Amino acid sequence: MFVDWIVGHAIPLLLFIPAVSGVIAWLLDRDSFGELKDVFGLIGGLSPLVIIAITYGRLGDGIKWTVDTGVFKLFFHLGYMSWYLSAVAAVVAAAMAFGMVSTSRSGYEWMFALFSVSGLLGVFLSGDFAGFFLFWELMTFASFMMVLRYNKGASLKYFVLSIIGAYAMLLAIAILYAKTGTLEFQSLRGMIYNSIYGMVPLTKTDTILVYALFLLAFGVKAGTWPLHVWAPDAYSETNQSYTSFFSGALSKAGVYGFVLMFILLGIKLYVDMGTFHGHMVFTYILAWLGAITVVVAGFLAVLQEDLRKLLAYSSVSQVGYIVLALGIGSGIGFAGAFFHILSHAVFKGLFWLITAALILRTGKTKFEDFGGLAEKMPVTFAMALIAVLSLAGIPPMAGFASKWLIYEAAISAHMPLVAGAIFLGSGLAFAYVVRFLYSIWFGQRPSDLEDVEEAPLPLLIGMAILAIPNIVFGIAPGLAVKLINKFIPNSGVAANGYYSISTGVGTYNALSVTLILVVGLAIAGLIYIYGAKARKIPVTDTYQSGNPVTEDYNLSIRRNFYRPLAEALEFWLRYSFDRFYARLARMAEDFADSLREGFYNGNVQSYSWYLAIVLLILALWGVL
Amino acid sequence: MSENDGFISYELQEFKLFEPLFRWARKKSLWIVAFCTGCGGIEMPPLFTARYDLERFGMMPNPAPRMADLFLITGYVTPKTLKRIIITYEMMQDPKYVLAHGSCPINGGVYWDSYNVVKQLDKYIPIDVAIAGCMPRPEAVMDGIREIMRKIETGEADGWKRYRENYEWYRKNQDELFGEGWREKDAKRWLAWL
Ligand code: SF4
Repeated sequence: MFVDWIVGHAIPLLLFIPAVSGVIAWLLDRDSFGELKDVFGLIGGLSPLVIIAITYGRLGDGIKWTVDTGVFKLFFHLGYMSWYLSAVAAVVAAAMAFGMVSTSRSGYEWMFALFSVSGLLGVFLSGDFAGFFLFWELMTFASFMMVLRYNKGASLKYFVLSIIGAYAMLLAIAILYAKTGTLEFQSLRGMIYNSIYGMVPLTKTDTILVYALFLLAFGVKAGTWPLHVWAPDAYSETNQSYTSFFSGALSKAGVYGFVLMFILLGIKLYVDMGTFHGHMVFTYILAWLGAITVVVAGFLAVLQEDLRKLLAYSSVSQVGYIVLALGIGSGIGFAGAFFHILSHAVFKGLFWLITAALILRTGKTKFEDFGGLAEKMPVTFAMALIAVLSLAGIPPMAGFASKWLIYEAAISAHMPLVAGAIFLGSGLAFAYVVRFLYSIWFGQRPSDLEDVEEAPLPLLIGMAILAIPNIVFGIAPGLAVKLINKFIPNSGVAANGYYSISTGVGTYNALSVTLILVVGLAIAGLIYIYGAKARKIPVTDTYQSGNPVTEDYNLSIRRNFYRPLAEALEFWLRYSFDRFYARLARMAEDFADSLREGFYNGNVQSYSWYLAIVLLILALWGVL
Repeated sequence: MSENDGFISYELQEFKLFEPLFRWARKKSLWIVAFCTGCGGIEMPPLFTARYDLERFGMMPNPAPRMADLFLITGYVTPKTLKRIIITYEMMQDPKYVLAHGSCPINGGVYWDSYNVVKQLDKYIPIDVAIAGCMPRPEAVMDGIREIMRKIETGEADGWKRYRENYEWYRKNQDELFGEGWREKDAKRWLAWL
């Protein structure tokens, strides 16, 4: 039957349909088939979601697929964990595809956007390091090409850091391969287990080296401090519909890398690195990296003056939560991390689609140019409200459930400082979403935004695709926890039905919270309706200490919204990893320049001297 | 006009039965716009501090007109201030009450021949209770407050309604004093100086 055929071939279909339709969309980028390229783009973007949906409940022991490329055998495996991750990626990809119908400028963008979909799915589905690295590079390359179109500087920064990360990973893989002789995850895991008993020559130094290299490799992709500097530029300088996938899903590749590190090396790392105050050292480092990321990126997000930059830093900060949750290292932590992967993907994807709509309709990105758009784009505003509620962690949204799990994990793992960092991060998240709400949607509208229209339909569909999971998984967190429990045995989080989840510490019954909220809103609504007659007044009818005001005065705070915070942080803001890397890059450049000028100086005499020196060295070595 | 007629005609029609309750509640929690004009500004703090203590009547000084329902005009009013007073008064929610202190708001007081003092405040915004004196003692002000509470209870304090119903007349007086379109003109005069 057709469905069975799809289930049987799920992996090649998942990997190839997006990439192939991307290429077709690129080929069709002629005036005569202008619309067709969007059709193929949509096919590519939606196919993963369809396939993933069809395979739901039919995974059995996991779907496998092997390709023999001659040099390598590539293994792919669609198990519960990769299904979950791919499903998250597929939802965001579908939303991105709808968004790109409105915002993509060319077939070029379709091609690379869909390449990164394939790349990410390949990373999630790979059963060995060869495929993993291959698709990792495809993903990096595709996202680099997307950024390159818009800003060369930002793309190069992203590319250099990604390459450093990727080759750190290659080095780590090489070490593992040299010592164990296998790239395939299953057998590698067995080998590493054996190495604890000395049967495989993987020494303690090797383990720590591999760990450090993996931290670098996956830290870059996940935007972990201090490797986050590419994210603000790369996320903002590209097609914003694509960023919903870039930041919503692609950043999860790094997180998945950390998960993989736990699965493959966990025991070995524990044995070799030991414990610190009852915490495993290797997870403890991860937890603190996550905590620092959450706080630092949160503060930086609050201080941004550009909508895209704010969301980019917020994305870094939220992925920090996931890294932190993984670093807690307990079952609840893992469940929280996977849940937050889902909720961050859906709310941040939604945020970026809203940004895409705003940029499409107004052409502006700075907060100082926006204001009072809630009246002009009511549907988009409603979506923004859902995203804001979810990000800030307000109960009936997915963001609350996942953050709640992370808190529970931090508290039950006795990590008070880390829990404090999450708490501070949540406060900062409130601060920057308030900025987003205030500067863009409320207040006085600048006169040049008078004829802004509602977002186009495809973008709205994309937003709806992402808004629905925010609400559904918020009201029914049990749904997500059930999926997660399938691949994390003994997670310590139980789903009591769809609506309620509980850990050893407490229970969160989302349905009753939602009901109470709805009833409360209803009562408040009744009081409002019966309490008094509301009258609409113009925005300038405001209390400017009794002074008359007109539209000529800008009464909304659009610039330096959190100036006092910036002043309080002045000392800390003087140190920036961004500037540090920039200086490092300049030094490398200068060094290269001096090398070139010093050695290739066009002086024949010095070339003969080089020859003489080499001969001398050879002579001393005893070759001549 | 009968005593109760139209008192709640602008809102809460459904709750006519509870009107006595609402009136009692209103008189027991008068919130004041902290808008001190003229000499009376210096007599405001003693009213609220330990000696005379208006808070025992449920009164609160409050900087936001939207949250207040009692407007104290505490002295002479210049045209420049009157503009702000009118804007603030219009921004307050119905029902709202105005209490004028001192002789100046009533008839110009010692500034009866000044070019720059509004002689009769009642021509521009409706006054519910006026207290004579230059400067009235706090006891007198408290007496005025007792009076306004009584009037709220009986429904006689209806300045806000008069303002609404006779808005043309008030508007005409305001425009005669300041000139038509004074709000825009006054707002725009600063633009050149920005
Ligand atoms: S009545 Fe007397 S105290 Fe009051 S404002 Fe006029 S001059 Fe000042």
